[in-house]
Amino acid sequence: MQIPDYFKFFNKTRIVSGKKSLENIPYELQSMDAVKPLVITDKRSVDEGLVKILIDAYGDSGLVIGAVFDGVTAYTSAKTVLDAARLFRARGCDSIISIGGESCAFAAKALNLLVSHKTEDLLQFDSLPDNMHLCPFIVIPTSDSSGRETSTRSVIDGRIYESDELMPDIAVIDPRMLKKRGKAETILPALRAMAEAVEACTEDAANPMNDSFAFASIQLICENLAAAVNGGSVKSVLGLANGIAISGIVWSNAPEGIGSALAEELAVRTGNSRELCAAVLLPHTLDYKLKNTKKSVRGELLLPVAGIDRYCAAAETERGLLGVEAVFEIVKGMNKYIPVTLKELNIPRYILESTAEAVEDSFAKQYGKGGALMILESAYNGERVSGGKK
Amino acid sequence: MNINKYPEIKSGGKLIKKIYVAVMLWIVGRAIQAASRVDREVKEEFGRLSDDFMMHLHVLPSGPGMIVGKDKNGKVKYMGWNPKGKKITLDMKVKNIEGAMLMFTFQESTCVASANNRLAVSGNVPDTMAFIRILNIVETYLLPKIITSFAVKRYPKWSQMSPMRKYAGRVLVYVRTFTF
Amino acid sequence: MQIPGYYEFCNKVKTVSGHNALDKLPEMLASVNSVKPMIITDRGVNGAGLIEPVKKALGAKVKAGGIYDDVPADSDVKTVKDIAAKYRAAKCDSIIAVGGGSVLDTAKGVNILVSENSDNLMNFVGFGALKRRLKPLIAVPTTSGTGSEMTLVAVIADHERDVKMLFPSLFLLPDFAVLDSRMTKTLPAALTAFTAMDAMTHACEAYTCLSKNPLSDSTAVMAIKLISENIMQGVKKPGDMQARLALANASALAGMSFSNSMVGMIHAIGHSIGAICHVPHGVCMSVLLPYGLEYNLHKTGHLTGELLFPLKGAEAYNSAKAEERPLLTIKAIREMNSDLRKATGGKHPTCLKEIVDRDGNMMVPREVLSDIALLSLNDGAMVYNPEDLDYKDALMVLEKAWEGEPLDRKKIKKGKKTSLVKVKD
Repeated sequence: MQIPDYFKFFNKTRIVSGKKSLENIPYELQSMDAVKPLVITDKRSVDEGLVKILIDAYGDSGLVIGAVFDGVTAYTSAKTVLDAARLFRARGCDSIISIGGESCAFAAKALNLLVSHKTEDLLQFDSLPDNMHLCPFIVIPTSDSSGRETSTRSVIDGRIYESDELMPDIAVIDPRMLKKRGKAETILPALRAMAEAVEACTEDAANPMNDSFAFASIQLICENLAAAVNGGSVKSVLGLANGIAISGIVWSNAPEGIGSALAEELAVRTGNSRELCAAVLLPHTLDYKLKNTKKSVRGELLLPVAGIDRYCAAAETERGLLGVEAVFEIVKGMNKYIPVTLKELNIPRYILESTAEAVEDSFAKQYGKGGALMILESAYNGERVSGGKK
Repeated sequence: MNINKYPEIKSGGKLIKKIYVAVMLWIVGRAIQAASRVDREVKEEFGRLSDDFMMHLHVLPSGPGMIVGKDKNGKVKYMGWNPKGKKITLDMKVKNIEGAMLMFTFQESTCVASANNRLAVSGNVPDTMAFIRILNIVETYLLPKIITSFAVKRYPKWSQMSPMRKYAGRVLVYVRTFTF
Repeated sequence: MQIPGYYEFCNKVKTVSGHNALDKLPEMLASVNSVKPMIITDRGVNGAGLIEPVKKALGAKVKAGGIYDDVPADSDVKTVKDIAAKYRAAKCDSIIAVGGGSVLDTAKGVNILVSENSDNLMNFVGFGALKRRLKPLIAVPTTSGTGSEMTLVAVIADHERDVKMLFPSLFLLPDFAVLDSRMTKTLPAALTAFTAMDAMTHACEAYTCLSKNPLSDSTAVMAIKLISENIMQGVKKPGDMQARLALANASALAGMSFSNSMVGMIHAIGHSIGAICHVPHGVCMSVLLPYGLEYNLHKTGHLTGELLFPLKGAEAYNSAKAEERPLLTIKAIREMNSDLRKATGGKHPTCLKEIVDRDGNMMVPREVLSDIALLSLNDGAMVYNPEDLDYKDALMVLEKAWEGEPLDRKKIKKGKKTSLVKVKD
């Protein structure tokens, strides 16, 4: 087990998951000294009836919801946040509930900055102070969630706001809020969340606390993905949503890895979604790490990916390789529904080069020169990384 | 932005569920009183509790609830729903009506409900434990085995009990619960 | 991985771990806008020179508003009030608690009084009594066992009324937990052994009791693995800082785990032995751990079987059949206790009759077992145990644990069997 000489770990978010968990919200708010939340969400969540489920769950609580602001769009803008802040103040709200994917959570976090600091100017927050007393903030993940809801991050107008305190106080994961989605729409956020959890525990700086969370996240996703895609039993969908929510905590506690940096750059350059890029790159990044760095892919990865029985049956020296193979298996198994190579996405070669170039500097020290391009090239053809030390 | 487009939302009611839980609480309260007269174990449990024992089991934020406690003569009594003027020594709150529904439709036993953090208890721990044991015994009297076996960890083997407790005890609890 | 129908998990403590983690104290204090912390500790810790690295870390930049080193072994109301008064007089604005479980509990109690500006702890007993953030609290554990730096409850005795008051609140979670290997370096072998087994018990019960969930599971497995890999090293080579750091991390992970999944009969019975015979908590845990797992086998045998992996490694797990694993897990824990007994020169007990005080007197005489059994039924942890225990059951467990014999599993009154593997009686 790897313990670095020094590390920090923090998770502010309390997870409340399962049957009738929404009904706890009024009690939970009151125990944080709040009585009147503003619900911030998007049109899709309203149309799918999610907001109504929350309002029904409020039944018998005797409390009032300040307003339901449903103006969040896929790209979160400062104007949206400001509108929400005006509504929050006009109604005398004291807490925030976000329903939906990351854009809703981003808006909620920025809203919290504004109303807790009694300001209208987001741009004043250059770097966020440590000891902000923010309003109680509850996230309700839906099938649109990416894991960023539980993270330390908010992105408004492309600008990043980051602080431990932006993590929500509670993530309420209620099966009723996890509506059925198309297969690709189920797979992609899950694989991206998994990619981030995998990356966190294949870093040199990995520590036992974040590893525990990462293992839980990876195992929940690996065990439930197939079932959630084919049929979607309540249990599997809930398991998947838990895995995704936990990945946000893991991601917040790990340095940015080469895989997510590449996915981000590739998404920006090609217009493909971050989820898709991350999913395609996941096994290839891992394969490259395994073959080119000694420490980072530990045999322990096999445990959450393949389960305790397969892990224990494998020879110790083989576990690293088997772990990577198992990840390949999972991603390739989804090829019926999503592309799994960059070739299928028709990405021209010069973009691979410029993408690699963009991240090369930050990671060359760790993974050697040319590493980034090697990952992209193997992901292009869907082949194993050639060369490297094994 | 027109603020009036986003109205305030008052929470609705859940009258039927509240009525159901109120009825169940009434039955359980009466049954505890009855069992305290008939069942040796329940009698002993109450005997160990202090003379001012007064338990309020209720649903947040606005009920229903029930109170069971000892009267001036030390007799165990179901004391209705109104805590006004009573000195509660054990306050067991169910966090919301849905939690109470899970408990009183026997989908979650008292222990599972505690494990699921559905209850918030103020009072001393030994009293709470004693009361949970009493509740379990009363449930074995009130309900058919198939339901109670969901509500308790292990169903008492009736063969280990005297025939008196097995049949007569049950009848007596029923009679005393539903008559005045 | 089992996904419960419902679960909650919270661990909002900033963990700072490392061989020199304490050196970050000024930064931690600054991040919570504190300039005048109060240090709370006990005589033992202070006597062992463990406040020195804390003072050194604070350096010239931060001046502590006082050091209170008179916390008794059992935290009580009077001490809490006393410290609160000193805190106010010195105009402190945060607390650094350096010590084991009782120091932490005391510090949490003080924090309630000074934050709520009250003199009466009684007003804050029970769930939901606290509604606001308290003053910053930094926990620096000096043993690797209790996990109190990660738990949300404080237990404080009121000797006048002869009751133990329970304060469960998320607001009591410390703001920081500082896991510094230097703080446990001087821990004697026997203490290292039973505190580590305390953490082991937290993790094993967390993995098998009613409120288990994915995160309590993964933190428990991690804790058990770290303890099994490092406990012998920590006992035999006290100066092995890597082992010390590993055990400190394990204890915090186990704390995180059981604070969210709760614990069962082992703790219920252990608390009662502690209350009646004044045996240190960790000692009770070491002895009772195999018995608790054994008693619950028909309910959670498959889970106990899975623990063979973090305890004995992958090969041991793989070479055993599923139905053999639960008993092998229990055997491994018994062996661990025997090995620790050897390694500590007979100081680590493997059964209740072997527990002795400093003068070598037996601490748990056989005749008090019935009192212990009766008291343990009233312990809150019983709620979360997979199987029920009545007085006779608890007494049976205690008698066997006293002698050091395994339970006669045929005699256990079994409810519905839920174990996924069949374990032979």
